[in-house]
Amino acid sequence: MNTKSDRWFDEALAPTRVSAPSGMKTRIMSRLHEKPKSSWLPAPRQWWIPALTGAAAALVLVWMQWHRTATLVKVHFELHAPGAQEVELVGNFNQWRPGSLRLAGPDGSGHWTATVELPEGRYEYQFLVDGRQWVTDPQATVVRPDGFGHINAIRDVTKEGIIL
Amino acid sequence: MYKLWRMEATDTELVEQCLAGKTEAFDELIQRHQDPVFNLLMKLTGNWHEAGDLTQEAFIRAYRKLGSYDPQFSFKNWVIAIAVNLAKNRFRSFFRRRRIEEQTSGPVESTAADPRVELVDQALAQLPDTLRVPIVLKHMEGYSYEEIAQTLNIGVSAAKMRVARAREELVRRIEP
Repeated sequence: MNTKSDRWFDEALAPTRVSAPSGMKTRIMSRLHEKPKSSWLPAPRQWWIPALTGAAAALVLVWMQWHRTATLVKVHFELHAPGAQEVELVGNFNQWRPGSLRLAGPDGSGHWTATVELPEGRYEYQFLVDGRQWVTDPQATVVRPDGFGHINAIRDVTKEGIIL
Repeated sequence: MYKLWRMEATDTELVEQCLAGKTEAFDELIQRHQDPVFNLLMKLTGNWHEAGDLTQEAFIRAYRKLGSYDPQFSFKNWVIAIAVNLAKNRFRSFFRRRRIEEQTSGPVESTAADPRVELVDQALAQLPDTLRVPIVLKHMEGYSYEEIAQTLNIGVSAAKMRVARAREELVRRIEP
């Protein structure tokens, strides 16, 4: 606990006082009628910058989506299953729902085939034989377990063609 | 008749003139109160340019909010409260930066010629913001504890405690 009086502190601090710089009043008066600045909104004159950037980004996104769907690639699938009654193609391109993509066949040598138009992308799939037997594409070079005891085949589809 | 010989208008009268459209009345309000506002901001920021910018902003904001000024309070206290809030809300990062700079490069050098004044200045600069502002308001601007509490939006007992702690810290640094 210090024993200094109020006056002692008044007198100790008084010499440290500083005055406003000359011209302060003039500067303030000249700025009184400025429009308030917003810290996060751009100035009205600069509205075209974010507006144009947003429009350009939207256009690019629309173009990318259009280009992706417009560039469909024909992908050929084939399975040798001479004794099968029915072969279906099931994958992430048809949300793993059987019944939408049936392979044609069998031909004279027991092959089932289908050609599907797909946008560019990576696809995982399996063949479903006679509605009950999941078969991994024997021609697939990239596979991965599906977590349910079967193996998914993987194909990367690009406009230049199928990579895998 | 009364106003014929009374030379100076009160702050409240000047505010009324401003609100009536006489912008030049604000010139007089700045003239009267720019020094205490700038002094407090110098003590808060320790930076001449920053204090100058904040002083300008405080007065400009006060001008725009003149319609909400309550004449039962002092105009000076009102502008100082605006300045303190501006400094707190808009330059928090600045205060943090300043503290870091002080920790790494030592206290800001005082420009005072008198070594004792320089000592007090540096001791004041080394106090935390929460103690420095109350002691400056109390002993440089003559605020009551109630006015300090109102300006800093704290309780009166907290204001008393902060001033007391600031005094102790200041004395400890000046007279170790």
